[in-house]
Amino acid sequence: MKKYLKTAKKRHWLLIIILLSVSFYLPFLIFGAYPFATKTNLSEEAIRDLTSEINLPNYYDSNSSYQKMLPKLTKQQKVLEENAFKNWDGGKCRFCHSIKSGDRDRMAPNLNQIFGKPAGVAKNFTYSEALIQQRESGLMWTPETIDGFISNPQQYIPGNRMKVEGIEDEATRKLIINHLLRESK
Amino acid sequence: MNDHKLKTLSSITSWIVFLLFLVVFKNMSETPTVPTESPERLLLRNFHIATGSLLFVCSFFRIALWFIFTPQNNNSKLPDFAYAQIHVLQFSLYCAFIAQGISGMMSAWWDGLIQFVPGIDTINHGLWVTVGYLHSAFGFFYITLILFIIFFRIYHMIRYRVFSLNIFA
Repeated sequence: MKKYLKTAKKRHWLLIIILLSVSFYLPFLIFGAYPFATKTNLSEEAIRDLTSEINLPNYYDSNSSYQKMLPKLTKQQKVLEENAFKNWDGGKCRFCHSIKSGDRDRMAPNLNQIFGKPAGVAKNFTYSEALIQQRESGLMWTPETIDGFISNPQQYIPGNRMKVEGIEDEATRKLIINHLLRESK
Repeated sequence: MNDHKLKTLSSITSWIVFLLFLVVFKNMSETPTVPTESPERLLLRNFHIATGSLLFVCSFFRIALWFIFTPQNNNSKLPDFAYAQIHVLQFSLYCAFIAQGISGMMSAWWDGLIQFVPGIDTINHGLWVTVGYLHSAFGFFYITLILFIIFFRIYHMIRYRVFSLNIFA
């Protein structure tokens, strides 16, 4: 072995270094993955400051129009909503996002209490510059903005790290938002 | 152990690594399409950990054998530097499998999936993200290496009339 490693020319090793370097970039390029997690993006106080002048409804209040407009939660409806959120042929959201307050963080931010939150404030996630700019411009997550974002993430916020195809089907997007309104309380 | 036995052992190990790689690759392609909390996903993930660990051990063993038993250039038409190039790629491939195994085990450890010492909280999101990234990067690394080995094997076939299906040494 040593003989062959000695016979190898510099260009052979150069090829290995190039391949290794490219490989280290590919998870970021293809999946939007990032090698480090930022523990806290914004303090609770800073988040309060961002939302203090914006009058948004409480999307989780049972008296809010959003909760009242939700379809009756039959067994079939529950399955439809869960599948839209979790399955590969649905939104694939659960592959990267957790949703309950006690859920472990995965590769993407936890979506607990997502409605009414400013963009780019979740813990344990390193946001793209594009999303941080949106946060500073006052983007808030509402059912309408989430709908716009998941329909085509790269068109809605160019340069963000959610490297998935948008969900063209309006009914699937609606099911996902319904699931979030019910489950991210 | 004599040279003949070492050569046989090296060859068998290479084939085991190749077969394990096919199994892990199939599992790796299938797992992301299965819903995260389903029993099938759990099964696929455990299977991934088991076969991935075996692949790591076999790759380590293959590298050790490689250092003990120097590969011979059986293809006399292939110049030494061309043969060395293939070996550098194959050596890097085994190193990638080992790195993949180490990062995979660390990832499972910091995700709380495996525990060597009972009762210790090993979950660490920050470290899990970092080693998860490395695990993915080394995965891309061995895929590009395999593609380049195939490319050079085809090139050698055209340039030197030396045909070999031997991708995993």
